[in-house]
Amino acid sequence: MYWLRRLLLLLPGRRQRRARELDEELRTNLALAVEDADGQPEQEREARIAFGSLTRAREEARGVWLPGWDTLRQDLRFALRTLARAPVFTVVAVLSLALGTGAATALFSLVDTVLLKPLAYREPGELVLAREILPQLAHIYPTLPVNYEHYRFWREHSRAFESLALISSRRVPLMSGGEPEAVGAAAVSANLFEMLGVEAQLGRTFRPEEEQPSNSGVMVITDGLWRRRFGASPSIVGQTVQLDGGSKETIIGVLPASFRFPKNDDLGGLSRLTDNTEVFQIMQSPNNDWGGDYDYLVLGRLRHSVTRAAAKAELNLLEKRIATEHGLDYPFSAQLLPLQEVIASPVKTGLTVLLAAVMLLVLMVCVNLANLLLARASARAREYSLRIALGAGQGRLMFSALAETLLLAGAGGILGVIAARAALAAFARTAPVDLPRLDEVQVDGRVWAFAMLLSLGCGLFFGLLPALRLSRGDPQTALRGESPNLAGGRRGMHLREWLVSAETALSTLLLVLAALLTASLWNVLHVDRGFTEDRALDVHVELPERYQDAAQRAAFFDMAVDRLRALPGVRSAGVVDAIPLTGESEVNGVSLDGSNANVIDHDRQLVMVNVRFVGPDYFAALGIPLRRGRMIEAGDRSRNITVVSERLAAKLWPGQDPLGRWLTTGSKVGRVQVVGVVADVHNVQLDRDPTLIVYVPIWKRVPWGADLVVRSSIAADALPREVRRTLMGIDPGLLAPKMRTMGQLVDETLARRRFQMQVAIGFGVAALLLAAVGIYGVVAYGIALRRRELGIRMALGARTGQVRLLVLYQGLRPVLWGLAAGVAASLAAGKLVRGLLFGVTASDGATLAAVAATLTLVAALACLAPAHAAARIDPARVLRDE
Amino acid sequence: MGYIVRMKRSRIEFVQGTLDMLILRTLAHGPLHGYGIAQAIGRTTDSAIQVEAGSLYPALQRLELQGLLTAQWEAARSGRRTRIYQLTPAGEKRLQAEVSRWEQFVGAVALVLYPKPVTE
Repeated sequence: MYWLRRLLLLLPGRRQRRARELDEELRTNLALAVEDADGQPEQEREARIAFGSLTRAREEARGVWLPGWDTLRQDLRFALRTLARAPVFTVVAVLSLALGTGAATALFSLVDTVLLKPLAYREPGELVLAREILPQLAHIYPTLPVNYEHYRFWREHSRAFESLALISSRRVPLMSGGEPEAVGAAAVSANLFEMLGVEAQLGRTFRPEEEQPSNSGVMVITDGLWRRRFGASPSIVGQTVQLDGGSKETIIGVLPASFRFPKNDDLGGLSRLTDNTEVFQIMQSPNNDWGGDYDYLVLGRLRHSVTRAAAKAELNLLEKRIATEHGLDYPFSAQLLPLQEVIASPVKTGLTVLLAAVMLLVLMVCVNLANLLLARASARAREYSLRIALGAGQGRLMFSALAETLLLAGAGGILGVIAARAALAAFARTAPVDLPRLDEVQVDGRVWAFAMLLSLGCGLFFGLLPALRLSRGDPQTALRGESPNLAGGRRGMHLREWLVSAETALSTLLLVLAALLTASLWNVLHVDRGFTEDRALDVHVELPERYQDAAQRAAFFDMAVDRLRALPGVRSAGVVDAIPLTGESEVNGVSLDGSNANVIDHDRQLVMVNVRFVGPDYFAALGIPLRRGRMIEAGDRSRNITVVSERLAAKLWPGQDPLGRWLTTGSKVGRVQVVGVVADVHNVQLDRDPTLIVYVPIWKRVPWGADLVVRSSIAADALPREVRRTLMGIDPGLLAPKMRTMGQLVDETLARRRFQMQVAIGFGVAALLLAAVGIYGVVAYGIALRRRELGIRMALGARTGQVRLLVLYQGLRPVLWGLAAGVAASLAAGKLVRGLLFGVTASDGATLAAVAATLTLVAALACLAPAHAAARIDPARVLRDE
Repeated sequence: MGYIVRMKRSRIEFVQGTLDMLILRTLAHGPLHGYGIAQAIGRTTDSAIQVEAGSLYPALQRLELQGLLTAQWEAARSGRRTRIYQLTPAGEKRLQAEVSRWEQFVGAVALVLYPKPVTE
């Protein structure tokens, strides 16, 4: 009953009525006491004293109802009012807390979802990725995917694996379920899903007997494709779909929505996985040879008792048998990598760097908060001393001081989560980094709890010291008009100057990183691309499988180029099997006349070239300048000629005239004569060395998929629509061509670098702001401490300019120390980021100077307001206060 | 924390519950308002104990919440209305328990202060 009656008083209406009754009761009872004095002033006074303080009676009696409740409300309301009176302090404190908790919270949810559970496969620790190593190629590709026959041999003879599965990826045109569309497809061995421990949500996955050619024609699709193109129809299993002109396949199963498949280069260089594999088919034996075509991805599940090293040793024994049984006279070996690490490692480094940066930020936020709170406490010491003098209890005062901090921390935490949500959403939308399960990252209860705990923890931890000092103040000091020293005098000041140095050093590090990445991006943007991207459109076309005849395909491309060139505003058009910056392909060794051996360069490495099949006008359309000889022409249809890139010519015939020379290479090119030399272009990335390229006429081997390059003389927004209409006019059954400007293509390859730079700049600016807040806090506090000293200096004749300079000097001194330490640290840490830099070194003088100048300027600005305040100290008032 | 009451110009701190007992005992004679309770305690102790409002009213609030007292708005002197407190049966029971505990306590303290002469 007792507790129930009390709890009812939580209702505001009930409490208010009770409070009114209490007030009336107290008043009437006092009136009764006064009446007893019979109007004699002396006795009336005594009666009042005997009755006791009305206020205290009221407060104590209310305190019985809900102990602490009224006090809590009062303190919070008072804290809100005092915070509102110091808007700059409040905003700075809340924002810096929000920044710290926001960054930490966003990262917490990222790491939680992405790093801790990247693969939803059964016992992922036992899964390994197998690759092969060819020492002659190791300088370009440290490891390669696996040769198909080697895989078959391993699968047949190995005892270390529970199973070994194979994946080969491509894009196929899907004709059923709407407009024709090229979808990512993987040809796999039948045991893949069983090995991964993935079961279909509808139907089933593959059976071993389906690897027989007579049983194939079945496919498994992802949940995404099922929803997107088949309306999540429950009767999809057993339906036949048309993949291309001819082939029909039966859908036997739909994978669960949680299924994730590696993409792009997730499984190492040359993985050639599509960015979204949606269709799985059975791999058909490609009639491979034993020595080339290292093109297939192999995943294995180790037996429980077998270590990775033992399995690798067994594979290498098998590799030796392959070499002897098939007379392969070059060395090759196998490599096994844990799948989890392979997938998480590129992400892991990035997240670890982010984590370090976030921790630095949180540290800075804490340091700032501590400084700000101390500075504020010293400014309010007088008020607290007064409250002590008026009889406030220590506990009450401490809570009152803490209430402010807790309000700040609460607001900071809430804002932080909101910021984290926005940041994560923006991250998921724009980040060009392939984070597994990024789309599943969300802000849930645990994330809220993390943020609030972090923020309140910070607030409580750093608010406790000032609160303790305030609540123990000596009432007399304040009443005498002195500024009590709450922070432990000069020693405390030194500590804070150290903190400022540390903050400056941290932001120097982050700013140097940001500046280096910016300089790198700038340098990459100004790399000579070898082509002109302005007003050039890349049109990627995949011909359906019914273009079986090479002559048919050649006719299509010839006609397409002719018609595109005839479009209004188009200056030139050309065709190539693979546009620059989309990766290496058709990689081959070259040999020269008089030798069957492949050319080896000065570093005893094989010279590897990319073969590109191009039509006439390709160089003109892409703006690749001709250096010597001539370009490929329409008359070269049946000639064995080639145009080579500048670097290749220099490598093959150093100091000699390449024109008229002969070379032999793979990809069905054979022996060709050089008729021209063109500028180098980049096939992979602008920040890698240009690729060595052998260009041959497209009629030599006409591809199914090719890029049409269309250069217009004016910026034409309508061009893509015209191009599409033109191509559909030639063949209405064509898959919709994929179009992008060359500018977009360049942007895409720079996206990761640009993103890294933006993140670094974001952190750098945040660190700079925090450092500025920290410097401001310390300098302002220092002036509060030295108000008397400064006043006396001025009374003795110091001019305001001198006082300003003094403050500025003392504020900047720790900054300069920190700057020196930060520069030294960034020089030492330069090695860590070397891989991210391009055309600039970590010890770049101009970059360091720019960062130093920026930081000093910002620090000086942060000192300016306190310096100004110091200069306005009125010496007369200071002396009067003494 | 105990209650601070005035005792002939010196302040003493009562053990928790002692004031509660005094109030209950005073009300055992019949219903009274707050001021009346303070007056009664003062008179009975010959002004040795004066209960201040800051102690009395919180104690009344607590006893009421505990269900040991009930209060009614009733007319007092010169047309004023005030709350008149009255013991509940639970309050009477509590008073008996408190009194017997107090007697035990006082007896024990007396034994310490005035020990019986040890006989051989």
